[in-house]
Amino acid sequence: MAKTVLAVDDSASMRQLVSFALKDAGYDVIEAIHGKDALEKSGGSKIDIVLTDLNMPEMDGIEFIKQFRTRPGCKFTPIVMLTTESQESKKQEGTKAGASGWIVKPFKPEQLIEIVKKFVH
Amino acid sequence: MHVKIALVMLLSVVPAFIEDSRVRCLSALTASIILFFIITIWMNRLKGEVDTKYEELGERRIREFKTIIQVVVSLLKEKSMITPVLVAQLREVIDQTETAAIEIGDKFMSIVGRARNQASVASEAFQKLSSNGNGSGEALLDISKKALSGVISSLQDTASLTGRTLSEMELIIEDTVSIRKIVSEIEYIAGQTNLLALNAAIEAARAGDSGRGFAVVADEVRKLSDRSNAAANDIRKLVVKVETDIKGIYGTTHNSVSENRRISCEAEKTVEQTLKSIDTTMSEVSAQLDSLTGGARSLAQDIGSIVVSMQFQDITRQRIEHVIEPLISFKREFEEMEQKTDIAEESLLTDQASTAGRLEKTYTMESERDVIRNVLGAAHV
Repeated sequence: MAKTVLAVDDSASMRQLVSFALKDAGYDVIEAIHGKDALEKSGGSKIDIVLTDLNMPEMDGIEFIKQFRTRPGCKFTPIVMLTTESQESKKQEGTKAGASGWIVKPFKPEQLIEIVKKFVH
Repeated sequence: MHVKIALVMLLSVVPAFIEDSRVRCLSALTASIILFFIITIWMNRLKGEVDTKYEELGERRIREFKTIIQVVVSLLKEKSMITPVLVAQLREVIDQTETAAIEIGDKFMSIVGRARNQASVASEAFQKLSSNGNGSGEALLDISKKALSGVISSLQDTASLTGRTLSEMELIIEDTVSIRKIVSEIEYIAGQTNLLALNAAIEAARAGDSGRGFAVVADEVRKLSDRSNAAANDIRKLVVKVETDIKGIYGTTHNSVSENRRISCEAEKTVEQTLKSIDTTMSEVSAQLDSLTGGARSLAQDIGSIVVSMQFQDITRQRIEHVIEPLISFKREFEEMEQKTDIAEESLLTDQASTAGRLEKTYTMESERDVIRNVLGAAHV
């Protein structure tokens, strides 16, 4: 059975890219446009890994990670940040909120798939 | 002024000409006091004049400074007025690039899908062509080779069988020769028998009545010899006919065997060449399919890389948003400052229509002008 990836990004082109790469690699992808949307869409599904942007309207990535972690069964779900921010402080803020890793944009699909495979066996 | 200076100098010099020291001292003291008062009054007057001039100068400077501030504030107000237009333009740029990026991404993904599909279809077709279609894994080419080899073998078997038939025909022809010899022997015997019967009839006639019965026998023997001779003739005719027929068949068959062998040889060569050609063609098709599949894979990777480059849109969007934020902040802060300041409102009034008009002149696209109209209203443009 295919693993499910929750891709959260306010940029439609980024969501398109992430979906394309992951669906091609055999994953199911649920897309969300910001943190609030992601919490609503992931409610009834088993999520195997989350890929989230940090700077988003409505609810940013850090707040989303914090709220996602409080959900039952989501405490150990891998969360990877997709961000243009390369500053160490931002990564630390995300890690402190509960993120498991990060990818700095722009990235190659192979890098994305490699990291997803690393977290999802 | 010069008189005052001369008077002061006179007062300060006069005591020096008085001989009496007491009077001189008193005069000097009096002159000093008078000089002090004169200088004090003079200084006060001077100070008043300087203060007046300084105040006048300060007021002029303040007026100039106010004028400069009014000009600067007017310029800032003008810039503040076009800030929403710039923000709207930038947001439009974000929307347009995002739409374009998504469309490009969709197109590329569609190309990748089609390339993969074509490679898959071609590969499947080749698989079907190179197998017999029943899943046994035996190559269609091998089946064709076997079938064609079977045809060649059958042709060769037929030629060999016909060769054996020819040999048997030769034996039959030899047998007909033997039969003709036997028929000649029978004819000879019939002739001799006929001759004997004739002699017996002569001898029976010479014996008279006693030889009458013998004459009957001799006559019957002669008849038998005639019939034997007739039968032998019939047999000879038949044998000759059979021999002629068989020789005809032999000749035809012989020609047929030669033709068969030639055809068989040519067929064998043609089949070998055809099979070689099929082998070569299949190898070429296989190589081309490999190349096609590899090309499709490579195309998919290249397009994947291009799609990755589309991340520029997200990065550009974020950078533009980082420009929009300070622009909005500038406008808000300027409006707050404007509310706090007591600079005369009339001095800040700016011709919004002319500002919008100047801005519009810098635009080259109708979509840009639409943004101005939407933000400032058609009346201002």
